[in-house]
Amino acid sequence: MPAQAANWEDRIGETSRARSGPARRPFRLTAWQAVAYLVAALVILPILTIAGTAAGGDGELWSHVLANVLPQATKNTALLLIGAGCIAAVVGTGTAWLVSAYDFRGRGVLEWALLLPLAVPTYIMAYAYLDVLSPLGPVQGVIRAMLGYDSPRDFRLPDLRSMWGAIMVFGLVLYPYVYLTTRAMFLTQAANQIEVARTLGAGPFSVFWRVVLPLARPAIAVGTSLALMEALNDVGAAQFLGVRTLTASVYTTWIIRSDLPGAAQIAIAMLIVVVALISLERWARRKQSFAAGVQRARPMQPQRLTGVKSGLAFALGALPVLIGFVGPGLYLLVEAIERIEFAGFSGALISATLNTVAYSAIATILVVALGFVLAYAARIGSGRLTTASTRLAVLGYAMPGTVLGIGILVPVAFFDRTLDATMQAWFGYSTGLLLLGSGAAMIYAYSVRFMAISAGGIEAGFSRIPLAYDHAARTLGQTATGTMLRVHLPLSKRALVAAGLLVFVDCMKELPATLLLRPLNVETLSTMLYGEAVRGTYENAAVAALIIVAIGMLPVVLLARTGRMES
Amino acid sequence: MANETKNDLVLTIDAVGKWFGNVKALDAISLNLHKGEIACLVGQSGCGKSTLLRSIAGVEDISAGQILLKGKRVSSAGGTTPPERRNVGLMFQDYALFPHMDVKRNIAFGLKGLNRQDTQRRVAQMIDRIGIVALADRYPHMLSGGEQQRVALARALAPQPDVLLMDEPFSNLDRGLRETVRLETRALLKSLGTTAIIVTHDPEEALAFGDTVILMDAGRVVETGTGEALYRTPQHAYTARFFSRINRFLGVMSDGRLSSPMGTFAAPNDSAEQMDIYIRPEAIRFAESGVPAQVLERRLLGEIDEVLLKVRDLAQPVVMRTSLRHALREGDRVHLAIAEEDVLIFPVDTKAHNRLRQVMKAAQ
Repeated sequence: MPAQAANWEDRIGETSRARSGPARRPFRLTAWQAVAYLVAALVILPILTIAGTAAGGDGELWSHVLANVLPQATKNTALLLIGAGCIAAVVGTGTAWLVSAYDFRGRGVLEWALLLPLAVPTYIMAYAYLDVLSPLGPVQGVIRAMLGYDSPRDFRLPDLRSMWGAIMVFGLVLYPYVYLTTRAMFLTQAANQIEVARTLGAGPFSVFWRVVLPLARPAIAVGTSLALMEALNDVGAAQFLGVRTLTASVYTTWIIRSDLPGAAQIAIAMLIVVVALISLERWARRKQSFAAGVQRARPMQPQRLTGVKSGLAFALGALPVLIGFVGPGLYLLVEAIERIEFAGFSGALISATLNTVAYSAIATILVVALGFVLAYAARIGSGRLTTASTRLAVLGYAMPGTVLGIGILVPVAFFDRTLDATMQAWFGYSTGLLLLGSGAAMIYAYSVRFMAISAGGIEAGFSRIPLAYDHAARTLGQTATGTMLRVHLPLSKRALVAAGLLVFVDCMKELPATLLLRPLNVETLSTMLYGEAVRGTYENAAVAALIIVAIGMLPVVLLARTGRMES
Repeated sequence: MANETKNDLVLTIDAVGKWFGNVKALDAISLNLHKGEIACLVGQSGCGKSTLLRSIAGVEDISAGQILLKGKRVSSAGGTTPPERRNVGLMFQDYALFPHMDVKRNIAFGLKGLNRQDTQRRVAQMIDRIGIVALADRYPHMLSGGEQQRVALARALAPQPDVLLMDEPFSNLDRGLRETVRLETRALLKSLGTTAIIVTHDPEEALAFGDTVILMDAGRVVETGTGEALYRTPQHAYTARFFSRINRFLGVMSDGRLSSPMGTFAAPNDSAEQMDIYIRPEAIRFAESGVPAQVLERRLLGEIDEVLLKVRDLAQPVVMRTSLRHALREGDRVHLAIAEEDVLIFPVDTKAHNRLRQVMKAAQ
């Protein structure tokens, strides 16, 4: 998923470097490049808008934001990111090492099950645990019963609605990003190094500290930065848990205080965090590339555990899955069944589901098509264009939905108003809010956010097609477009489907941009859940959440399968 | 190695077997290795040579038999002593240098129980010995392939392992460099008296590098011996075929001798009615009289010429190699003589014949 997206940049970097020899590129096609530039422009527009809007606010406002909102929100965001990052790094690396270095009963199941929390968006995790862990909820009830207390007044766990609660919730759903990147590294790189280290006299613990951890550091950094981009994007969980982060501040400043310039100013602060995360990720990848000198990738030989040790290892590995997936999943299942028995599928729920599927599907088709063009332009185009557009695509992925929402709303609203006025003046016909009202603005936001996933996945598929095929097709008389249609399209069908699936699920889960840009009175599953959670009504929310999690499991299955194929 | 004593024995491999599900990767392998001996495990890819090496290193469990290092059992079906407690050195084809450590720290990695000064002295010694003084502070990604190979060798040798295990250590090097590095490596191992096993798929490398050559096929040892013995007097047809190109003829017993299109040869004592006669390309020479043949093609291979000859009604051309520059042209008629002591005779290998027949059929 995003790991792939970011991978893309690297791969393209390599091929373009390899290609930029003394001779000029033999093939050039400007139409492809034009589309690539257009995509790049679509990403830049929101960023420029934010800068412009922020500058447009008066100085007094700036100083208010600076004095009252920013310090607290920045501190909260920093604490949350550091805490969640540490938990995700430790749990992700630990579990990756556990299933790579040891063989025990149930390891095969854990290998893919550890990815399952990816199916649970942060806001659903927070939503579920608020109820599960509430003083009147099942967990505290069982603990009280075991300890012999009668009433919540006599004994209660610390409130989940706190910084600590938020850190735990974020860390435990986002660790799979680290697990994914680190495990891939263990599968492909570490085996020879570990075996050499062991024959040189280093025991298992020494190998872990002296060889494995230093080797894995770049992979851990990549995974953690991806997890933190996700954490920074979150608007629901932080609000449910009462942590005023930058993202939540943008949202409330805009929606509740109707202060767009103020929101844009906070958004600028977030962009700085985003750039920092991207830089961390890029640095780590550079480190990673110099370590990749291995020709024969071979999975390491796991050490077999038996008896109690095997059971303990399984329990340890199963814990994050229980907390990050099974727990909230079961809770949602029970609640959803109760709700459906009580009220059936309400009309609101059905229309929210249909809306979600429709908007996500349209966005998916658009994003995959543009991603294909971008990836192909990168393949045939010059190195400079490639680097620029891929960097922008990654920036789009890292941009939190709230920031993107502001950046898109302003130009889109301007366009809608201008169009409406023009049409009225010339034809006496009102177009209303064409882009906003039709949901086009929302789809624009999805495209910017998830372009990197689509282009990255497709480029990964392309990278398995040797450049010699292109050259053969072109020397046999095919144009660039003909080559694409007759060679690349058929050969990368699987990559296209996979990219489409990933994008679809991400669109469906997306909350912040959807919340800000959806047409009036249109609810999707995620906004429905958000609305009910904020109002505390908890009606259809469990069913909506269950649908999201269920569909969210599809790409996890896909990831698990490709992961196994690579090993 | 006539004066070897029991104490010289470094490694004993005793009926070792290894199964991956139903596939027998290693099948009752037995070997002995003495101090200072360099053995080459050679065979086609998938013959089990790397699995055997990895079993000796202790990074792979075995399913049957036992492995003894200096008389101590380190591997059996019942258990495996972890690699860090075996005192073996392991070197990979891709060298597996630690990318986060410079050359010095890579070499120092395996040194235990020395204080800082002694560690540094030992590392400096090793660096000096291998001739990489200029590289001491570099990181692996800054080194060329040949330099990485040396560092990996230094790292493996620094802790003075009882056995050094090398998996295709030269196959990542360019052809010209490979020979130099191979010579240097062998000289170094000999001067240090290191006991070593190297795994290779290259017949020439095995013959040139090993004191002992162990040829494996399909998880079994086909034949063990000096390179000289395996090349000159192979006991198995497979060995003869593996180490050189051969011309194969069917010999039929008549009057106590084996008769073939290339002449008659003395039959071994236990000869069957039909035997395979193997003649190496370099055992054939031109003569005034002998087997009549016609030149089909002459190819220059560099130091030697290869000549393809049509002999009587044989479908396959006979291959001959010679260092004498004959002025031959296509269609020339010549006579061939064969040095009888260079002829190898084996029982008929039906499998090989069938394969040949299939190939011929496919070619038609």
